[in-house]
Amino acid sequence: MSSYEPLTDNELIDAIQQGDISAFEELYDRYANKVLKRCYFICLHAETARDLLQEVWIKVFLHLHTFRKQSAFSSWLYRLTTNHCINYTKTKTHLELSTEDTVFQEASKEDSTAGVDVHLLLQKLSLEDRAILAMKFMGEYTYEEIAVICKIGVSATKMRISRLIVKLREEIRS
Amino acid sequence: MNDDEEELFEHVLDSLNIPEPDPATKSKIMKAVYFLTVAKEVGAFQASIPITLFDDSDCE
Repeated sequence: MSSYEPLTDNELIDAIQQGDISAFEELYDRYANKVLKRCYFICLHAETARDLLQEVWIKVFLHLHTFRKQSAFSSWLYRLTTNHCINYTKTKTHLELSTEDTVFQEASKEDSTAGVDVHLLLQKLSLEDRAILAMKFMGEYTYEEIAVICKIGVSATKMRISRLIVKLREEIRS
Repeated sequence: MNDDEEELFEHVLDSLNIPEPDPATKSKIMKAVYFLTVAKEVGAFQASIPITLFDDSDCE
């Protein structure tokens, strides 16, 4: 067990701000996989998700001083991840990102407990739909904020998210 | 945010069964962080040098 394991996220952040790089390594170990999953959820491309993971963590290091500890570190991290990934996808065409990437897909198919190919399920959703879900559940954006970003009304945003949830639920149950 | 919806979203993420990031990725990130830390320290050191030390107006 590393000497950093008993520390809370905020204690690790204090250590990082005093120049302790090993504390950053511990923070990375705690959240790297969670961040990778979230990057992949948006871009659906394994190699891109790995690149985004690196960029997100460099951004975390550079902007850690802006984290005020008024919320959980994970919330701040996932919002940063959401914003970074969505900004990235804006610069890429859908075609560029839709190239099949077998690495993560194979991993999912090996999971017999999944019962459904989640990759296929996510591919059925548009990039915008995945971005909206990511904003809501990863970035913890309010309906109002999503409405402004997507340039649609608040009630239309609520309706769209609700429909997406129903769709996901149905596909997972089927 | 509804707990049930959040749980569903987490379930979707978990079902993706994404493998742990490879050690090479971590190594790249840690190297970058190390260089950024050094650059920050060098920058802070340079900023701490009084500007008069760079003033060469009396040299001529």
